[in-house]
Formats: sequence, C-alpha cells, structure tokens
Amino acid sequence: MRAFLDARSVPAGSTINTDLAIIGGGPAGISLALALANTPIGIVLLESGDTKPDAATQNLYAGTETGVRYIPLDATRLRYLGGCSNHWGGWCRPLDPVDFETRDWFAHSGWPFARSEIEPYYPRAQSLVEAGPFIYDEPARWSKPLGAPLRLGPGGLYTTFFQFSKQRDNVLPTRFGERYADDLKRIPNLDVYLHANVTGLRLTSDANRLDHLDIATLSGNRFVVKPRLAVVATGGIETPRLLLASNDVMSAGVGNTHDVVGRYFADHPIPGQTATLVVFDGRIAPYYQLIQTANGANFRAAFAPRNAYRQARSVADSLATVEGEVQLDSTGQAAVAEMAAMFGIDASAMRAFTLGCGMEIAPDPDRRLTLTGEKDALGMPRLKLEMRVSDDDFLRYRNTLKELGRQLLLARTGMIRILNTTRAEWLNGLDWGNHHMGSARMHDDPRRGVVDANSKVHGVGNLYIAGSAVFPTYGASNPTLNLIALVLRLADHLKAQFR
Amino acid sequence: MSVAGKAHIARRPLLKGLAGAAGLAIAGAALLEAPKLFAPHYPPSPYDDLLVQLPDRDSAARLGAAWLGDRPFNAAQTAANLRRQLGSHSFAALLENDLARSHMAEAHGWVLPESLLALCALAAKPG
Repeated sequence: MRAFLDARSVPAGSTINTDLAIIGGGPAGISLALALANTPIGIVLLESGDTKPDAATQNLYAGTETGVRYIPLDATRLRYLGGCSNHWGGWCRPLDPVDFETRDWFAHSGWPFARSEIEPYYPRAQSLVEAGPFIYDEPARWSKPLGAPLRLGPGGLYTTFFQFSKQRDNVLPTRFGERYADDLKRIPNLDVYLHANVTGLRLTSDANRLDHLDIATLSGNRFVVKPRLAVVATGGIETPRLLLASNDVMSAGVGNTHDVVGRYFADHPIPGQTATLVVFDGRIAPYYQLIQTANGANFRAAFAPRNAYRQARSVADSLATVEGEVQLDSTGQAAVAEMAAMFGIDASAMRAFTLGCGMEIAPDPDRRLTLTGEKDALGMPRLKLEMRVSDDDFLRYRNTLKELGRQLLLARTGMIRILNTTRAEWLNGLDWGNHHMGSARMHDDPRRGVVDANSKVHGVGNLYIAGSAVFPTYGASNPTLNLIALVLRLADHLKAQFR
Repeated sequence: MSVAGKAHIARRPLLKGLAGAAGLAIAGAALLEAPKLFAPHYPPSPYDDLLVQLPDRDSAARLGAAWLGDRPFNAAQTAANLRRQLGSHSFAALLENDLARSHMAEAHGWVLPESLLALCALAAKPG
C-alpha cells in the first residue's frame, strides 16, 4: 500500500508528467480513479484538502450569494478528500427516463443521450455508494415485510423509493475519502496528492489543447502537472470557477467561447412543509416517514410524478416525502368530515402528516456563477452566485400536489392540503439540497453546452469534466448515484482514448 | 274476598297499564322528536333541495367561505348548475365525476371536488 503524497513537499517549480490528471478528490474523482485502477494509464489525483477538514483550505470556497437566499458557498460544500460526500445524507435514486428528454415546454431541457446510455453503469455506481441491491421501484420487494404503499387512484403520481448509502457496519452514508482511502493507496497506477490546489488550466497557444496545470499549496509551493488528458471533477461550483479563472489564452475562460460556463447552475429547492397529507384510516407504512431496512437495503418512500404525466401536464420532477404528524385546524376537520361523509368513509382514525419535498427547477441561464474581483489566499478570483427560482417552478410542483390530492380521493385513501400559494410563502424557510449541478452543462452544440456527450470540453481536445456540473437537466433525484454512473461511463471512454 | 272486590282489584292494574303505555308513547315520541328539537335550524333557502345533501351544514359553510374568499358569487346560477349536473344522479356520483375529470378546486389549500365546494359555497352564502 502506498501513502498519499503531500503537494507541499514536491520540489518547487518541478513538472510532474502523467497520462491522466484528475482534479478533485470527491465522489466523482475517486470513482474515476477506482474505475481506472490497474490499467496502463498513469494517473495523478489532485486533492486540495487533506483527509480531514481545515479552516484555511475550506476558506478557499468562500464567495458571495445574491438573489434568492442560498447556502454560503463555503458551507454548501467541503474541501477535503471525499468532497461533498463528507456531508452527504446518502439519498440515492436514479434519474428518470424523461429527465433526459428534450421537452418543448421545459426550456433548455434535455441531455444529448437517453437514460439507456448510463443504465449499464448504475449497478456499479450502486455498489460504490454501498446502497445494497439495485431494486428501487419494485414495491413488492419493500411492501411484503412492511405493508403496502398507500393506495392511489389512477393518475399522475406513484410511490417511488429512495435507497440509502450505508457504509460498513450500517453507518450512513459512504464517505468516499474515508471509505476508499485504502483502496486508492493500493492502486499501482495512481498517485494521490493532498494539499494540491489547481489554480490554472493552461492551454496551448492555439487554445486547442490543455498543456499543463498550475498547482499551488497554501504553504506557498508551486509546481506544474503536465497530463496527456485531464478531468476536472471539482463539483458544480468550483468547476466553472476554475474554467473562468483560466483566462490567459482564452480571455473568456476555458470552454467559454459562447458564454455558457457558470450559467444554468441549479440545486434542488427543499421548500420545507409544502402540504398536509390526511390518511382516512390512519394506516401508513413506516417506510413513508423513516428509513427502513428490508431485502438488504435501506429505503424510504416518496411520491413522484410519472414520466407520462410529466410530459402530458408539463410538470417538472419532484419527490414528496411524508414527515411529522400534525393536528388539523377547524377548516381541515370540516374538509375531512364533509368529504368522508359524502363518500361514506369512516375517518374516525384519521391521521395527518406534513409533506416535505425536493423539487426540480427549470434550467435558467441567468442562475449563474461569475468571478468577482476578490481573490482567495492562492490568488484565485472568488465567485458570486446569482440564485433564482421562478414562480413557474413552484407552480409546477403545486400542480403535482393537486394531482396527488385527486388520486388520494379517487382511491378513498385520504386528502391533501397545499400549504403554499404565494412566492413569499414558498420562499419562507426554503432550504437547498447542496446538489450543485448544471454550471458546465452537456450539449452537442458548443453554443449551448460546455462539454459534449462524452464530457469533453468543446474545442479543447484533452480536457474533460466529471460530475453533476455537466447535468443539462436535473430531475429531482439526488445527484450522487447518477453522477457516479456518468463518471463510470466516462472511465470507459477514457480507456478507449489511451488504447 | 267479595266478587265486587275482585272486580275492583282487576281494574287497578288495567288503569296502571294504560297509564304506563301512555307514558311510554309520550317518551317515545319525545325521543323521536329530540334530534329535530336540538338540531341546528337554518332559515329556509331556495337551495334546500341541494343543501340537504350536506351532512354538516356548519362545517360546509366554513369550507365554502374559505373557497369563496372575496370572489363574486352568484348563488342562483351555482345552484342551477349543480341541479343540471346532478340530474338523476347522486351527489356522490357527481363528486366522483369531478375526480375523474380533474375538476378540482381549493378551499384554504384543501384540494376538493369542485361540486362539493360549490355546494359548500351555497351553505356559506345561500342568498
């Protein structure tokens, strides 16, 4: 087993030559290194932090947030080995087929390929996140031991299932740095450098290829890595920062000929309590409210719109979870009493719960990361985020809740009360998923995307981007499992490049 | 004991029995009428044929008021629409039809069939 290397000890001014440089030691970078283990490809993985957090390194992430209230840029991510998996909740769910489709009613939507393209990589991604067997939407597998899902009438929504990452001994979830440190040390064709901050992607003078990477440490050391290929895997916020700041050859930044880098940034809004769910007979399977274990997996249910419904009714994705039990006010009691009496339902054991949600927002070019004049300790320009959520984003989810209410009544199962109507109500207490996506989006057309369908930066022959930064449309599923599936696909592509 | 005495004794239980039967009848009648005596009374409205569908008119009025808010409301037209839609069907069937056709509306955020809320609005503002 080989120890990790310390970039502070690399001779200043030296050049490290390698086949492949992976920039970033989060879930994407680590998964890529693991996927290319024991190949003839010589790999250098460059991680800014150590194996534990430290304040000075974390401060490199500080920036400015404007617009809709967002998490401070140095709190929404973690800069040490394992990256954002160090504060990941472990929620896993594959993207839906419709997430990949171009939809006329959903501006800027669509991936350059169908879900079938990454489908073969899900089982391995599932294994890396240690979420048990890949069973997700097979209700019979879950419901036998723990009770059937709530009955819904015919319509747009169904009960879907998250699975959860679980590290050894059932510790939730997989922290990639801690979990895979020894595996990385065992890879003979890999050198992992800690404290190695990439401060510049230096292109050849014709701007067609990456020539080298500038590396800096907080201790003041400087050296260069010269790879044949490089993969930026620094997440949906830092990736555009690095591309935009590398502006010595291309004044607008690397890959930014058409001013797309940093635009279309997205996260999943979590608008807190969005609705009240009434269950007439009070009986609800435990997996709606809490993580349960069955069939070798940890799982929890949510209500999601079906693919066909999303297309037919022009709604985005959402995943509504059942949260705490609540008491109804007099209007609520009246609503339940009238409805139950009309349909001859015994609601004497009725129970009510709040519904939480993670929802998809539409791609928006003006939801954007840009550089500011302020510099960090390494001289890198800091970022400003202009965060936006449109009224249409909220309205689409509202319509989805309304459909759920209709289906509950059709099945005589229960009812829904939607709690938010005005923009102020939706924004009150709005939280975010820490899911940084879209800022270096994938599109076949260089005018509309930063990378092509292989995740290669348009116009730069040997530079790739890995991770959720390339997601051109987001769905509501948590991105980690999906970005790892995409990374495993990229690994196959890179193997072919080195043959 | 004389024959006359026997006859006297025989009349007494008969009278008691008649009195008891009368008492039971009065008590029974009172029990039958009690719900009517204690049930809320509403002023007659032109829509009583519809409002009779509501199991609890006070609760319904609360829902109806929440749905109406400040919006203009034409009770006569709403009632006419409901009667036309009802035809010979039950009100439950009308609600079922609303659900099938996604004719849903909201009262204080509660997602309910439109026809139910229209009827509740009649309870809230019958004229």
